[in-house]
Amino acid sequence: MGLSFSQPVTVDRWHTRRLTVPVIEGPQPAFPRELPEVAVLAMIAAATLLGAVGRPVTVEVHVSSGLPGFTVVGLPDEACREARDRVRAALLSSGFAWPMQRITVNLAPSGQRKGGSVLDLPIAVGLLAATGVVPAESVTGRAFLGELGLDGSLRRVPGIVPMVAARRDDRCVVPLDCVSEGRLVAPDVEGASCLGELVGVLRDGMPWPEPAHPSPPDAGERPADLADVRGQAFARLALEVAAAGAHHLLLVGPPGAGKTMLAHRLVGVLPDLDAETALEATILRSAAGLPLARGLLRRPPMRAPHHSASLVSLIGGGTAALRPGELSLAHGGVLFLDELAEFPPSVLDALRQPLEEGVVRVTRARASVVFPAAVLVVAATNPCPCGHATSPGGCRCTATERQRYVRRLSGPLLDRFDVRVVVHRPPEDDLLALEPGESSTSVAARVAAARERAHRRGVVANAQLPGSRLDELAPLSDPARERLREELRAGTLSGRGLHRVRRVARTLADLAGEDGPLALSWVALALQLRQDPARHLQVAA
Amino acid sequence: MRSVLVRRGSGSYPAELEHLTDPPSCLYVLGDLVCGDARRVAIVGTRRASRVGREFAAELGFGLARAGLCVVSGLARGIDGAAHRGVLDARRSVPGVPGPLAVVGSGVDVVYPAEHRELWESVAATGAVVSEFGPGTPPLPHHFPARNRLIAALAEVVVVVESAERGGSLVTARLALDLGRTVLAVPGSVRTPVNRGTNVLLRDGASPVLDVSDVLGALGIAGLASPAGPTPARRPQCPAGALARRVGELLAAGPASPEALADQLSVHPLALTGAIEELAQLGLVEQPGLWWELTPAGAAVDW
Repeated sequence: MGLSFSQPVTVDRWHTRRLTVPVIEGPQPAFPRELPEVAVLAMIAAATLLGAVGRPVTVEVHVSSGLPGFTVVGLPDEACREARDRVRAALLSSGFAWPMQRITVNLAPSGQRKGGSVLDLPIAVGLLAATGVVPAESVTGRAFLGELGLDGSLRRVPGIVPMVAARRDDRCVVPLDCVSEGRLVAPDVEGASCLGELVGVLRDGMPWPEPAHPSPPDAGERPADLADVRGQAFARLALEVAAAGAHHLLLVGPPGAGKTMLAHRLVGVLPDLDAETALEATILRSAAGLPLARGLLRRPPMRAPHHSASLVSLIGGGTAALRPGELSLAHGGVLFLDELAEFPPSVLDALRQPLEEGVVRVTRARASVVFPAAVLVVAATNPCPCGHATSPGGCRCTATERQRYVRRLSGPLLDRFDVRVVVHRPPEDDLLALEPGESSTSVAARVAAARERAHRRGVVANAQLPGSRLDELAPLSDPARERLREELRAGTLSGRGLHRVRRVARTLADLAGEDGPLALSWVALALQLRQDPARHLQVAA
Repeated sequence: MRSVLVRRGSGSYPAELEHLTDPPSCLYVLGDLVCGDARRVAIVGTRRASRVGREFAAELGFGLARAGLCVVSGLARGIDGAAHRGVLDARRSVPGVPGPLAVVGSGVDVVYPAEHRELWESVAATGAVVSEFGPGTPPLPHHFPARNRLIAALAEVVVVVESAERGGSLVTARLALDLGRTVLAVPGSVRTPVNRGTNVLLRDGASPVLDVSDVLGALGIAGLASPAGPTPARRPQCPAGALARRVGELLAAGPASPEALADQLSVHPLALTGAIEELAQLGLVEQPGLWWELTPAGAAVDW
């Protein structure tokens, strides 16, 4: 009775009475002619995904005499219960016999609900071990993760990176496609393309197959270049400031002004991700089941959800595995919200707290997970439904229409945008006449230098400068102080706005390489980079 | 205040309305329709007027009222409201000038737009609010073209201050031309949409209005009264720096966003902001919407 639950993988036999089966004509089945003892237990290390975290799971496969049947217990979800049929078909397709015995699979710890198809492979391996197809020693110290096809192939599953991380102490075996992903966190990850191949390695000592494309390191390719943007000096500056200080950016302008074009170029001027953020971003991407063709995510990601996106798709959640939302997929990078005013108010409200905290907490009755979500938000919006209220007399909307539109933009969300600029549509002639703008590479160099200055103040970027230490970290010159006092007196600047203007002014000075108290010019420019998109409402009255 | 019903054919029914192919059978009047024997001038324009346009409309209303003319308009947002305010200002400074006449597209007791309640009441108290629609009629969109034809018929001269290319004030201008009235237009920048309609009128042969005397000239009463606004003999020089003056020069051609200014001058936003700050400190420019434009003081400067 040597049952041991402390070791992750054991194949244990009890009862020594053997049954014999009749010899089968024709080719010898891979399955041994003698069935094992009355009851056999195999325990296979595996993991499931919850949110962006892998949770170790032990798959216990119990094969005993009795009425033939196959049950899966231990709170499997629908996809997990379907594993029965996939595992059976996969084993048969791969040339292994199906034991006509009573098979019970338990997913331990049984109290936690398990989802997804990642447990297909461990169940199959457990059966192979329990029926003696593969030797017990060969699965000891290994963990198995993957989905099975009916033909016995191993298919990729979302969340390989976090699940391998959760099983770092074991040597993980994953579908061959996922090996490069798994090796991001554990170098000893191996893979196989189908069950037959896996048995070849485990039983016959064949070498592990090499993944077809060893992932080339992310070459840091920069997609769209700022040189394509001609003119638009303010928008370019706003972009640079947003990148350098991690200030959220709002672009206001008529349709066709190039708001989307600008937003897509922000990622190109951001510095590479630091090691920790890169790993977090990679894990989140893996957990969402997105491809990781270039291995570890070194460049900041960009996500641009459409305004019809649901709350859960943006924030994260869902029924089975609590998938990370767009906000978390943009972790370390840029979340671009085009047509901001078209997003439902409930979605925009839900963004507020994560933007402040840098993490998303998704709480459901069954579980609660935390996704990292340190993003730089870039939003673009028309000033009014027709889009032309940025120029005098250009707008054809009624006053009510404009009020209703701007009300959606205003309020606490608008306050989160430190940098807000009006983008105009350049006259057609200028598009040809103007010189190509400065390239992303040289802007990125200034951004990196400015971030370096922020690091010396103990923050990643100036947007995180604590309000209580602004006097010490971003002191004001006397004329600048006087100018801000005027704005406060006139009521055009709130207390919270004051802090934000000071941080942006600090970033502007950092970009220019200036230390010391902030000159008036930087504060004035920061104020100019803080347009109120509701301002045009006053004109019509 | 109660509205009075004036039937067609009665003594106080304006004879000019008979020029229309479909004169209203009766008018509802809040106030006093007589306006003395004053000749009538209409000031019309877009509801989405620029600040400059509204100021000029008020100036015209002021000057024309002081010259003893009855100013007709429509009590709408923008140019209309500004013109009425100009007339009311003139009445306050010089007693005895004719009161404003407003023709509206709703019942005379249905204030539209709502923010014009006070103005509405002042116009009714000093002049008249007129409508062919009965009390309680809401301001439906198709009422306004009908209202415009009354304005065109009542006035001898129609001045269009600002109008987009397909604005309602151009409809009024066309109706006025059909009725044989004189149409005048205020020129503006060729770049700004609010001036496109008036510039088209000018191109098509309307006479330009540069100040009140041009309107008086069209009525054949030139020199009767000096225009109200003081016209300085020499315009002040701009005291600001070189870049600031170039900014002023550009703004004199029409309002512009900082982005547009930076592109036209090819300067860094920092330098441009400095120049704008300088001008703002001098009170020469201001930011009424998402763009910058000259203040009245700035408009007076010789850039």
